[in-house]
Amino acid sequence: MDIRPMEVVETIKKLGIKFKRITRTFEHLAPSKTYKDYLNFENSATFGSVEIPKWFEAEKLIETFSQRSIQNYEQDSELKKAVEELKRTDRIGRPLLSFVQFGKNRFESARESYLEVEAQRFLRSNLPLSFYNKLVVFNNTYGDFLKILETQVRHAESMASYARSFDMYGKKIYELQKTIGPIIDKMDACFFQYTRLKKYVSIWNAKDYEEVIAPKYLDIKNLDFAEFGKLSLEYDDRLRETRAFLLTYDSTIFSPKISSQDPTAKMFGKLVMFPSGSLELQADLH
Amino acid sequence: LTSSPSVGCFFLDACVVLSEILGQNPSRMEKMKKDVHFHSISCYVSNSVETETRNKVQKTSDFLGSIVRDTIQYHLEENRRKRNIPLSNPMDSNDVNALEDLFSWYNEEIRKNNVLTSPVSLVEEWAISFLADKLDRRVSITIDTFVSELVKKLLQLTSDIENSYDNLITFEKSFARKIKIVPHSSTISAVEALGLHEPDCDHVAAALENQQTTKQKMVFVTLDFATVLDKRDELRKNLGIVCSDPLYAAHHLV
Repeated sequence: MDIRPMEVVETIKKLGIKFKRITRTFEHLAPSKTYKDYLNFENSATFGSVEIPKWFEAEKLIETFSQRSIQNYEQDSELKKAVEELKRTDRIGRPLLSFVQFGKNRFESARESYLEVEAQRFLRSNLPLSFYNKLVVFNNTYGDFLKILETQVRHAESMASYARSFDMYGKKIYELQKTIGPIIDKMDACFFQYTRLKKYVSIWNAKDYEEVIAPKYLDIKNLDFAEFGKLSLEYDDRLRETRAFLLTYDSTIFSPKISSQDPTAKMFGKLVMFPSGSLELQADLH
Repeated sequence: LTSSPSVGCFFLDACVVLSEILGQNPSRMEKMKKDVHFHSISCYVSNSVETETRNKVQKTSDFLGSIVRDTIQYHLEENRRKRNIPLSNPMDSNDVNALEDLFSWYNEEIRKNNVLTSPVSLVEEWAISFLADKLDRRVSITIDTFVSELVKKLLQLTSDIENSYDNLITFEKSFARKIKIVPHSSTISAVEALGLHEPDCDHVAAALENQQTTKQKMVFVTLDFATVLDKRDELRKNLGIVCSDPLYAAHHLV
């Protein structure tokens, strides 16, 4: 959000008459850090704060994970185009809103596949389902974050576009920064805890750098319980804090959606009333 | 329309909180919420109830995940290997029969432990109904897709449960408020002496201690007929605490 409002005044000639055309937009104050810088920073923070297996080096892990993200970005022509559009300072209209909407629509269309990915990971592991529940809750919280961001940006950009003077336009853009900056920071901090937990589980289940991005099988026995518990707790706390923060922008985001007629909810509702001991008894029979 | 001032308070049991979160017992829950609103009754969830609710959701979720992955998937794949049928082939009635054998064996083992209703049979009904629906509609489905679909349904539901839980308890956006009470060991012992076990005795003791401290009229609202409501007369006579089904709870206050 390192941006400053700017006004471009052009003199154009139409049918022999001179007109002044004023375009209001924003420019980036400092040359933005490269995506690679950002990834290296994030991965350094991750691998600098978790225990690493002795067969891996932190530097190489940082490089492997960063490289993989860059590759994904390079192959994603849609995202690249959206980012380039956002970077253009001559862009008029609502550049930030278009970018946020692009992100939100993409997320919505991929929501089912995120669920599929977690289901497949669960089936190729011996970790409990409740671990994957936490990851799905993050994905859904991220969807809520994008909806809130869209509402806030739409409102702020709309107010800015109606500004009668450049001073007023500038004020509205600063207001936009002040509004969405904390939302993005909060989600960013939560995203860090989320990816750190996932990367921790991955590195302890991979034997080499080739496998580290997507290990074939996730075995809970390969994890240090104390470390895993600590990272899970830190993630839980951050997720709860982020959800509480998002709720201040939209009090309806966590409203109950469960239908009592849904067969899965019905079955779960009956099971949850069983004494806990009887569920343990069933598990022992496996 | 609401009447005021408050006529007393409710202490909710974990089963009532779970019913609200999961949309179960809708008639009873709606009646209770209407009463709460109309008579301005404060509803409290003690820390012990909060912990039990969270633990129950997690245990149930892990139990279901384990049944789907370690039992259903494993058994179906083993059965295919024995029959020399590729795992990638679509499922058919032979696979349903394999599941029938699996669950028959399971239920037999459960009956040996003198358990009347088996949690596994609930999972059996859910999984087989889902599969039968696909087969009836001639939808081609592999074992991998079948188990993955079941897991996705569980993940989606547990994520919705998290939202409902946070809405009701964590962020107190509905009709209940959290209350932290650490009951005295003598209060817990008095409840235990009437035949209640953990964690029920902690929940009732918290409500009792609050009643004694605040001198406010209070009802412990529960759907636990087998271990709490069946002792409601003793609880009222010996400890002065009223325990009630959500349907009748408000009528003990007004």
